[in-house]
Amino acid sequence: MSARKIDDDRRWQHSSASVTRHSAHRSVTGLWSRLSRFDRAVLFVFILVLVIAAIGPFVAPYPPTFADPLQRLVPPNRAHPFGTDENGIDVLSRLIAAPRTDVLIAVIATTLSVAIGVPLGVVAGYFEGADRRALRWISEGTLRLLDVIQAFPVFILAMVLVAIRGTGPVNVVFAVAFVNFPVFLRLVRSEILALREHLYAEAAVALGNSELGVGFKHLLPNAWPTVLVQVSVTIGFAVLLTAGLSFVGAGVSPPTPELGAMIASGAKFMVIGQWWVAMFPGLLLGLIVFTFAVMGDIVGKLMEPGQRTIPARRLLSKDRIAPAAQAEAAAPSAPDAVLSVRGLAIEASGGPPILDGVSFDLMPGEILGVVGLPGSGKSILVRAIVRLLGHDLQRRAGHVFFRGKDLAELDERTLRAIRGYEILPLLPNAKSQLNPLVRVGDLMVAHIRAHHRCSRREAHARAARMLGAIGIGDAEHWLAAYPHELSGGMAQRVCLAIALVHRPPLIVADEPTAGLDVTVQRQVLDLMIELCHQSGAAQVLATRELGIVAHYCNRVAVLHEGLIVEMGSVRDVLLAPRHAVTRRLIAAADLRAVSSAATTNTSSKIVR
Amino acid sequence: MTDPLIVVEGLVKRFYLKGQNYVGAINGISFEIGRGETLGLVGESGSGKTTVGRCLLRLVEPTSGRIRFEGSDITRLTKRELKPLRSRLQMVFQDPFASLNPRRTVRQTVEEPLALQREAPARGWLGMITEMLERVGLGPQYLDRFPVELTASEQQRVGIARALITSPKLVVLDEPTSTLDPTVREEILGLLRSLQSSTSVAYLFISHDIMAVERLSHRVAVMYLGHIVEQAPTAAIMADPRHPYTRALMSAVLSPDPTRRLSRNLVVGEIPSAINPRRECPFYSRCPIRLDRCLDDVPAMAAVGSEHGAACFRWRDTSEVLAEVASE
Ligand SMILES: Nc1ncnc2c1ncn2[C@@H]1O[C@H](COP(=O)(O)OP(=O)(O)OP(=O)(O)O)[C@@H](O)[C@H]1O
Ligand code: SF4
Ligand SMILES: [Mg+2]
Repeated sequence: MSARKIDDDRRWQHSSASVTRHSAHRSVTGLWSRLSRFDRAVLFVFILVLVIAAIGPFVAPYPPTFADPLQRLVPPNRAHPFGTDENGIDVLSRLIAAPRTDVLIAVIATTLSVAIGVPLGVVAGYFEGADRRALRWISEGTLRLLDVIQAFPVFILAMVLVAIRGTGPVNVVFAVAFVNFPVFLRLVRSEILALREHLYAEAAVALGNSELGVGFKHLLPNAWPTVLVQVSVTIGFAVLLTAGLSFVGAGVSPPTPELGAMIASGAKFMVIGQWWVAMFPGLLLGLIVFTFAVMGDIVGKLMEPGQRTIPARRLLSKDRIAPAAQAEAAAPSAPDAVLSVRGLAIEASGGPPILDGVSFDLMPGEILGVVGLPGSGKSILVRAIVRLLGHDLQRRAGHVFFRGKDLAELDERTLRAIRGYEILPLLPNAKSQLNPLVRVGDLMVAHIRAHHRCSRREAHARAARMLGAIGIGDAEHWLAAYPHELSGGMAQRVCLAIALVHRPPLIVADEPTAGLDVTVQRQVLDLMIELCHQSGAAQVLATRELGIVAHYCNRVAVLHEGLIVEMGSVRDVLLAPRHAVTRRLIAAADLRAVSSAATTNTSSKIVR
Repeated sequence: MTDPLIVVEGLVKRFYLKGQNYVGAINGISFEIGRGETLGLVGESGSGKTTVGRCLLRLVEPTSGRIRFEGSDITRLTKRELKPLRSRLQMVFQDPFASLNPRRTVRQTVEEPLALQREAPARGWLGMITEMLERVGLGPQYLDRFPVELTASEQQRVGIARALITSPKLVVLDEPTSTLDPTVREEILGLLRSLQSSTSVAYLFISHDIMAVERLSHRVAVMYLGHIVEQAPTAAIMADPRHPYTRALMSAVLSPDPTRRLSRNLVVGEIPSAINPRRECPFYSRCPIRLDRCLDDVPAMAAVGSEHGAACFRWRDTSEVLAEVASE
């Protein structure tokens, strides 16, 4: 291909690409719009807490350690809105000054745990997957040791540590860091183990990175979002731990303003009715811990990688659409059609249209291929017919008539009764659609008995015959197997066989053979067509491969920018294409056309 | 072939399972690739073709066999000795999106091989990157984009740019087009070919798509269950395939021309498990023309022509026998 051709192609691809395409997810407004109102409120409180922690002591109305012996245990009044404590210090001032101690200790301690836990986590993740047995043992041993550390109640462990090293803020930092670093080690280790399965990790090794280098340079950056979520949660927990240690007298001691110590000293007055001394610090402590915990979620939301923005579509003027397609859209649905789609329009919530008024009729036994450039809406069309769209996609207009009923308007329950029984959706990756806990045989028997009155034994015998018919030998073995034991091709064939028990008048398929080997693809397609012929089922078949359309479909519809731009018999469309997109698709397929050795003149099973 | 770039001899890769069991991913294969040449390696999933590519880059350790690349035996090198070799031996991966680190921009991705090799001075990198991107059809506006902001075709172009920036002698292309739409597939194959003619890089082009292989390769090797069952110059193998499996692959291709009739599909079932392979013809379980003696041993590569070999006992008259079976 010449450079010019590539350029042309590129322009093609981007002709419909939008202006918004560039990095909306990195802008601040984009991030802000991801947050709910609650999230925004929490974010506000969070910032407030940080500000107070930073400048608290300087803005407090009274000096937070200034004791006025004449004003001891004064209940809340105008001069002291939160009252005073047993030393006559203003509670509000102490409250404003106190978070600094707790938050600072928590932040430093958490930073320390991250600094120790994260690199060790990377190394542990690397050792664990290593070829050398010794390294795996080291990693295993470390993890067991951590189990032991973590098995102690954290608070007790921290108390013991402080007891050994003595009280005081520095020792609290060490204690809190020590009990928290295993959290980060484990988290990072498991992230690394998961991330190293990604193809880009292998690519990085191929480029010449050492394994450990891959861990730090490539995998760790992708683990950061998870780590940051944990950091926020851990800081909240560390605040609680610091306050708890101070509460029992093992941490920061008075007169330094600190929430735990304040609660402790206020607690004894609670019983005699002087509630304000302990209550306000208690509430504030709760609020801080809660805020940090929720901030974890918020951080997670903000760090999600951005979605690709959906290309905005140009609307096609009607005269660019082939006349046949236009005529069919305008006509009322044919009386004997199995399926009659009229003006179907689908859009992404708040976004551009994805389907923009699609209409066609499908006669019994007819097989309609749906083709188009990538992203033209083939899959959406197939899913829209049976209403298997995600929640972010909505129908804006149009109808889908199936045997007199408008599927687009049916309630979900009635629709579910039709889907799978009267209309069979065949989607790629059949395996993921089979219930992994149900044996193939049980599934088939259940379906057979739902449709035909017969005993279990008869149904079982019939299932075995069916497997034979779809080319799966050793039926008893496979009937007893679970879906994950099947290969992709087998799973797709089993789905087909099960579905066809119900003799559905309509099959809607999206790339049913995607990902299957070529020799297996032929078998699945042959089987599908044969079964369609036997039962007279009609089919909508979306595919990228024009070869499949050429040999397995009667009619073909070409989708482009949400519209059918050309429709007709397979021969007419493929041999005399009218629309530029059709020609482009054919050109792409033709270049890969078969050399003569591949097609011989032996008779084919395919009837047209 | 005079002075081949890479020579693979008797390559074996087994993945050991519990007990004495193992997966025979590669069961003793040999091939060569000349400078500036493309060898296509075709086969279905499970045939072991990706493992061959990964062995060449020592992403997995071969069990036995030799891989001579520019004079040194890759299988013997330590990880450290291997590192300088990496710039001459690169790889492009199957899934373009998955093979790019989502948190790195195009520029960072393409820069990495340069940074690892440190052969060129750092101030020249940006120029090299821009030029490389241009050669794969991406303008400088792509430098700061992230993988999610690219189409599949653009992602694969970045993958190719990353592989070619150090001017390698050999690039392993592991199904570089198989997840792409046919229209985009053409683009990428065309690009690979034009890059080859301008840099005379050699490719090991791994694919399950015999048509794509035909378009890009000078020679083709067909793999099945860890064996190379047929190997020949592209024109020879397309015109006169001798192994029944090669024929099956070819007749499974669906021409977009509706006037062409499909040949009957003679090969049923699926590629069998590679666990503890027996000493017999690997294709036996699916072969439409098998004989009892095919169970006796793994057929040796028979010389069909000077450069054309087929590992089938019935290579002399495959097409006649197949036609007989087909007409039954
Ligand atoms: N959940 C969604 N929200 C918004 N847009 C979507 C969503 N799903 C798909 N789209 C967009 O709808 C368009 C049509 O997608 P669809 O998957 O139907 O294409 P296709 O023709 O099947 O493509 P391919 O050949 O790649 O399978 C694309 O532009 C896609 O980005
Ligand atoms: S050796 Fe026998 S079984 Fe193997 S491919 Fe040839 S004919 Fe078939
Ligand atoms: Mg699709």
